Amino acid sequence: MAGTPYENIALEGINLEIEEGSFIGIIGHTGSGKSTLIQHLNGLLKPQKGTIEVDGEDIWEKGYKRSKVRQKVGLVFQYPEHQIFEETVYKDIAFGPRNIGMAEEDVMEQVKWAMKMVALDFDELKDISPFDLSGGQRRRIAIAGVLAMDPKYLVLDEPTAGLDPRGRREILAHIYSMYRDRGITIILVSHNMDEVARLADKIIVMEKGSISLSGTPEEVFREGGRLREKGLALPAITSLMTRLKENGWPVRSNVFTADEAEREILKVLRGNGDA
Amino acid sequence: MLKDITIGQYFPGDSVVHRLDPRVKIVLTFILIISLFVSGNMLGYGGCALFIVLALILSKVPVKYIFKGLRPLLIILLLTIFINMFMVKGEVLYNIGPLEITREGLTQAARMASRLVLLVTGASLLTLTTSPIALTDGIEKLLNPLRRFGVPAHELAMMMTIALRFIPTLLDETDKIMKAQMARGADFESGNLVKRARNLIPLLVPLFISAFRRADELALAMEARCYRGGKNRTRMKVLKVERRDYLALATGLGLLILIIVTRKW
Repeated sequence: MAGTPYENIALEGINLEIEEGSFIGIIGHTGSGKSTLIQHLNGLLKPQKGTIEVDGEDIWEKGYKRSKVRQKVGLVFQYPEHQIFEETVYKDIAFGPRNIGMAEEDVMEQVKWAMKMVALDFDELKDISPFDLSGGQRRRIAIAGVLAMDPKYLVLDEPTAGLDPRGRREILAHIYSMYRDRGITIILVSHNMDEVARLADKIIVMEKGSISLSGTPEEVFREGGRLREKGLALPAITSLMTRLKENGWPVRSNVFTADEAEREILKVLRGNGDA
Repeated sequence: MLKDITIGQYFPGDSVVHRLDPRVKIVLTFILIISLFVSGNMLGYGGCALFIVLALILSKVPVKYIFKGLRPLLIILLLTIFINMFMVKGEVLYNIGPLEITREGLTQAARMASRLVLLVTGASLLTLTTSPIALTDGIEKLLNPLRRFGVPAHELAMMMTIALRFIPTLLDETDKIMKAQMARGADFESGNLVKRARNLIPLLVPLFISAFRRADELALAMEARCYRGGKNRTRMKVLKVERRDYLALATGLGLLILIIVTRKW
C-alpha cells in the first residue's frame, strides 16, 4: 500500500533483542503494533527495512528455510481455537509437527507431551472431535498444536482473552511451567498488566508502532506517571502499594503479586503494633 | 493480494452522479447495456462512449479507478480480439502463416472490444458512484412491483447488503486463519493443483465455521432488535426522484432511441 493514501506505517525504529530463556511481556494499546511485531518474529510478515535474526541467522536471507523459523518460533494467535479444523484432537495437534516433517512416532510423542503441558488427558481426548469441547479446552488444544512443534521460542498473543478467571489462571500457569520447567523462551502479549507484571522478567511497552519503554517490571512500573500518560494502568497491586506509600505508609511500591503485598502490609501493621 | 479486488468498489463523492437516485442509475446502466447490444455500428458505440465519458467527468471519479477495474478484463479482451481477428471469414488483408486477417474480422474484433470495454466501464461507474447501501435500496425498490409474483424483494436486498457488509470481514478472517496455519507450518503456495486444493482444507474449515457462527450471531442480534422482514418498515432516507434524475433518464432514453433509429445506417 506504499505511496497510496492508505499507506500506514505500523512499526518504526524497532530495535529489540530477546534473550534465550527469558519471559518477555509485551503490553500496549490496541493498534500499537504488538500483533504486527510478533508476526515478524516467525517470518509471517517481512519487514520493509531492517533484518530479523533468529539464533544469529537472518531469516530473510536467501537460502534460509521458512519452515525452520516456523518450527523454532511458535506463534499462538489471538483466539487460537478459531484455527482448529481437524476431526479429532490428536489430528489437529499433530498438524504442525507433520507439516514440519516430523517422523510419525515422534509426532505421537510430541502430541502426548504437548497435551500434558496444557493439562489435557491424552487417552481421554485424543479421538474426540475438538468441536465437541468447551471454549477453554479448545484454546488449550490450539496452544498444544503450536507447542507440539517443539518450539524454542513461544509467542502468545493474548492467550487469556475471553476466558473466565479460572481459565485464565490455568492457561497462565501452563505457560509459566513451559518457561520454568522446559526453558522455552516466552513472549507474552497482553492487555493485562497484572498478568505481565507477575510473570515476565522483562516488559516491553509498545506505543504507536515503537517501543516506548522497556526493562524489568520494576524499571517499567517505576515510570507509573509515564505509563498513565499513555493511558496504561499500573498493575492493581502496584497501584495499591503506591497509593499506600503516598499516604505515608512505609511500604515498598515495587510489588507485583498479592502475596508479596500481603507480606509488606503485614510487616507494616505488625511493626505498628509493636511500637 | 486479497485487498486488490476493485470490482464493485465505491468511490465516495458528492458529485451530481453520486447524488442521482440509485434506481435511476441502475435503470440507466440497463439502458446502456441494451444500447450496446442493439447498436450495430460505430456511431452507436460512439454515442455510448460519449455518454459514459460525460458521466465520468460529471462524477469526478479519477480515470485510473476505471482502468483498474478494466485490468482483470485484459485477458478476456485480448482473447476476444484475437479470435475475432483470425476466425471471421471474409476479404483477406494480411497473411501470417496459416492465419488470415480479414477486413470483416478486424471490424468484428473492434466491435466486440468496444462493447466489452464500454459495458464494464458503465457498470463499474454505477458501483463507483453508488454506495452499496444505496444500491441495494435501489434494487429493492425496483423489484418491489415483482413482489406480487412472489419475488422476495426486501429479503433479496437484505441478503445483498449483508453479503457486501461481510466481504471485508471475511477477507480479514481469511488472512488471519491463513497466517495461523502458516505458523503451524502449513503451505499454501507450492505443490500441484490437487495438493494445493487439499492444503486449503485447514483454511476453509475454520472459515466456514466462523462464517456460520457470525451468521448465527447476526441473526440473533437482528431478532433482538425486532427485525421481522420488510413489512411496514420505513426508511430514514426515502428515495425521491428529482429533476436531475428525470434529466438523466431522458438523456439515457434519448440515446437508446437514437441508437435504434440509426441502427441500419
